Amino acid sequence: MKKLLIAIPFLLIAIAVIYHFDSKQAIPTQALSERRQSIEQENQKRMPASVPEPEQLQLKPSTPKKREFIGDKKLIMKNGKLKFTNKPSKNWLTKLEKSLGRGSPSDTKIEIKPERSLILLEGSLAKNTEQVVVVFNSENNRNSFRAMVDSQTGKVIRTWDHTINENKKTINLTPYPLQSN
Amino acid sequence: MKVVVRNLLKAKSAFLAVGMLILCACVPSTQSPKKRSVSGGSTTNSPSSVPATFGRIFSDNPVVISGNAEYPTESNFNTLLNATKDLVYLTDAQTLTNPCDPQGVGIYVVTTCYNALPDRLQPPLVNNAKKWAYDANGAEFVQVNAFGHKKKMLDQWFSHQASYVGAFSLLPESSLKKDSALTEQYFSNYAWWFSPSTSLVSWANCDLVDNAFFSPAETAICLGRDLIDPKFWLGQDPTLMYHELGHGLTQVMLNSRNKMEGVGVIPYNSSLAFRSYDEGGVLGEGIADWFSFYVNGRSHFAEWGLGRFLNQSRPLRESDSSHTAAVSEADDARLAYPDYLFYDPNFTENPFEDIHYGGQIISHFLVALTEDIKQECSIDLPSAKQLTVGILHEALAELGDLTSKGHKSGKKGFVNLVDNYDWAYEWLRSYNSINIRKFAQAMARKTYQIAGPGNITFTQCSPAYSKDRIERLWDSYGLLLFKTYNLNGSSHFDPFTLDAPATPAQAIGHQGSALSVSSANRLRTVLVDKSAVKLDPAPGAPPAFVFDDRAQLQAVANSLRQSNGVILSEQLDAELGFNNGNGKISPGEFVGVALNLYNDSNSTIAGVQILASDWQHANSTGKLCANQGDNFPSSEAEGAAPAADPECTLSPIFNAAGGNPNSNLDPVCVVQLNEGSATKWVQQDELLASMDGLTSNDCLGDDPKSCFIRSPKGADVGWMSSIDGKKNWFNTLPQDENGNREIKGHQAVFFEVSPWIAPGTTFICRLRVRFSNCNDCYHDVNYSDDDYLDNDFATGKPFKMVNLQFTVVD
Ligand SMILES: [Zn+2]
Repeated sequence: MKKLLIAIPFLLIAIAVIYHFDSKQAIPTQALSERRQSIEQENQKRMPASVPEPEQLQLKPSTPKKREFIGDKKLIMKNGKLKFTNKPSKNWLTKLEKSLGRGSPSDTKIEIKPERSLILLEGSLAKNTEQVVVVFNSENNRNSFRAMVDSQTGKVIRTWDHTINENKKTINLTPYPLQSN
Repeated sequence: MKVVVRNLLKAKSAFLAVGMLILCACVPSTQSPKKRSVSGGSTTNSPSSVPATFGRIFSDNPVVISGNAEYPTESNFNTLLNATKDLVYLTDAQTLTNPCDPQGVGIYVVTTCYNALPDRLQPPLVNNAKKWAYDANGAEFVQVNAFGHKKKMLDQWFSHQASYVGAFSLLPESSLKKDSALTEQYFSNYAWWFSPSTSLVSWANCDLVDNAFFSPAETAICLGRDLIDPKFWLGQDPTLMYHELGHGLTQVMLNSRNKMEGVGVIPYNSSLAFRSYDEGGVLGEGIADWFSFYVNGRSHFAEWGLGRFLNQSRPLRESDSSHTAAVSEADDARLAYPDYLFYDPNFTENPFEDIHYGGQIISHFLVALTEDIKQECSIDLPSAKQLTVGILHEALAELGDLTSKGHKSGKKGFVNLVDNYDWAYEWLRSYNSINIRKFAQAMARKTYQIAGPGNITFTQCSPAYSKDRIERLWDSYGLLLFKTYNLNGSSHFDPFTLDAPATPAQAIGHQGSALSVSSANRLRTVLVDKSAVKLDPAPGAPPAFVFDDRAQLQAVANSLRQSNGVILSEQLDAELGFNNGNGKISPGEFVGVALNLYNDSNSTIAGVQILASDWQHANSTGKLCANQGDNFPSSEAEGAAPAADPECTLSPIFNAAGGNPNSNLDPVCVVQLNEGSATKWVQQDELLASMDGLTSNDCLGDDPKSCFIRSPKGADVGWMSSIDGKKNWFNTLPQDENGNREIKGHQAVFFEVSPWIAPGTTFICRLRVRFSNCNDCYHDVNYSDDDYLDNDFATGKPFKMVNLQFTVVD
């Protein structure tokens, strides 16, 4: 048993070395060059020193780009056309800002950073949406998430990527017994 | 007094904090690490003493290095550094940045993409000479220290990933590759990792008091500061970086498949947690704590960052000296679920409901698994960590998969219902979310497949980690909560057509072997029938508690908005002006409701989940299905659908595109309609139709069936950590030193109440309840205790129905 204990780490190293060696022959070169290319493209998009200026985070709609389609377009195309449930509006961001600010304490600063414009499947129809990052800042309290937003109404469809705060503010609630009828 | 100490993290008052500082000096440390002299310590840490691209970082946190649990902040921290041993390579750049270029060759190529800023939107620390030695008493050092430990953990993680993925990437298709949640694209498609525009940034001078976070949206780790002592930063404690980065890697692992298989298809990311307390949160904290052991192999965590002033450091294994005498690594003395959910080893007499303390069960379990793999597979600890993190990655990637296939040979619906990201996300969030049972089962399945006898072509452990060994270890933690490994998954589709099956028996999820657990191995884990949970039967006990205090509910609404993205209906006053705090459900209010649940069994039930999300309880004409376990409504005259209506007997079939599955699911609250002398229960759209002058524009949202009472998504799932046998939920809550019990928002589900409801209108909300150690909430007796198919969770079948009746009054 002791021999085995000693032998196994060596065996693992040996296996690792073999894989490492083999892998040189099996380098997914195309994949690697694709990856390098995509990183270069990303690098070009990168802002200097990767420090976004505060004002750049404030309500700046992304430059008009082609909308990305999420999912399989063919599933809902009829005669080569898509039927949409909504029409993009210029006001979606203002409407979103208003709805996020509704009821928010006055000391909370809300930042909205548009990320991309999308077309999502909704049953047999297509929907124009905007993906944004929302950041809430107030005294000793920070939260953020991503949101998918209706491009026409500015309504939040879904949020995800919520902050994992170690020390969440807890709210103690006063219970009242529900009166039975 | 001790509660004050612990609750300081939650306290805003500087007065309390000062009190606590004084207090802490007299609280004996639970740690008392052995004192040792710091060899090689210097009084300075000067740039001239390091070569370019190098710097010095703490080898551990100041308490551990100094051997002094009360190491004073007035000390010269430079003496904690060892001139030679703590010298590490950091970066070639002039800022703390590790670029996104691929490094290495072949399957070992990794891309790093991480950097450091002092805080959000602040300029980076620039060092033209690239000599990263800074005065250890200063804030710059904290940035370097945090960056260096992030690098240390990521170097280990990438090395493990490369070895783990490399070990089976060359195997034939028939091998484990078909069962693996990872793919060959793992190291050629880096979509699962961070990118130049989403570099993993740490803010180690984060301007946040007594707090730290991981933000997936900003791909940022914030490590905050102390309220009083300007020299004290959480980033001085490497184990806190391991914990926060652990949250980050958990997010990466959970979404591996969404980013690889679903690239361009899945717009969302999965998460474990959705409320301030839920079992996903317990899992997240436990996994994050385990990552501290993963890096340094020690049995305790955050002695400086959480232990020095806050007395909140946590052990990671039962042999740690901070535990009570009752805890040990013997099978019957492990930190078992649910017994130790409230266990705070720093204040054992003051149990506390919190995901971090509950998470200790998970961190201890993962350490025990690592150690057991090391022993059973006769490998060293680094290899055991590599294998354990591989198993964890496999389990999380499968559980978080919004493509729903789960693994390479998986078919749609194996996990998370269907290959429709909206429905998959809803299943993950609400209908069949990742609780402790689901995690424990996935970990067992992956351990069986990777280290156990589950796949003989991929022997990572020899002799194989036996099935009995898995079951006994899981059981020693009270985690043998499942009767099968569910190897066949939960897909409700036909295996050949991938469409609706002729019968549920022909669905993929009931084909093949689910692999049964040997019940003889279930010694410590207790499963309880769902019938045990009910409304408190005590005379005079209310069916529920209502929360409608305006200031409290404003705070709840703000918290739900910021941490969960819940946006309330514009039909409600923005400032909740109709919330009158009279303890009644009144028009125009936003209210919380906590069911007054009682456990009629003799054993504790845990992970009690209350669902107010839409479900299938009506036929397509809107008549209510009375066969969902609550015999409601009691007759057709009172609104029930005809008996044996097929729309009420079959679980719905979800279609990824083209269909409209939503028509099968209806809002949870229905209303009593008076028609002359008769009354009947109907959906809310019928009430709308009966009210002159109101249109669907006056509804709370787009669905007229939730026009008047609605539980908004994100506020529609409540969690009670546990309910002791023969007790109600409230009396199970731990008491503070004054004998008080705190009720917090997570125990409630929340409802918007339309201002247009006429007082006197009566509603019933058909809430669905389940818990993690439930005998019959997951196991379908019609299929040899195989797990219910995922579409079954759209019905009442796997749940205990609890109907809440109330009348809206002013
Ligand atoms: Zn955490």
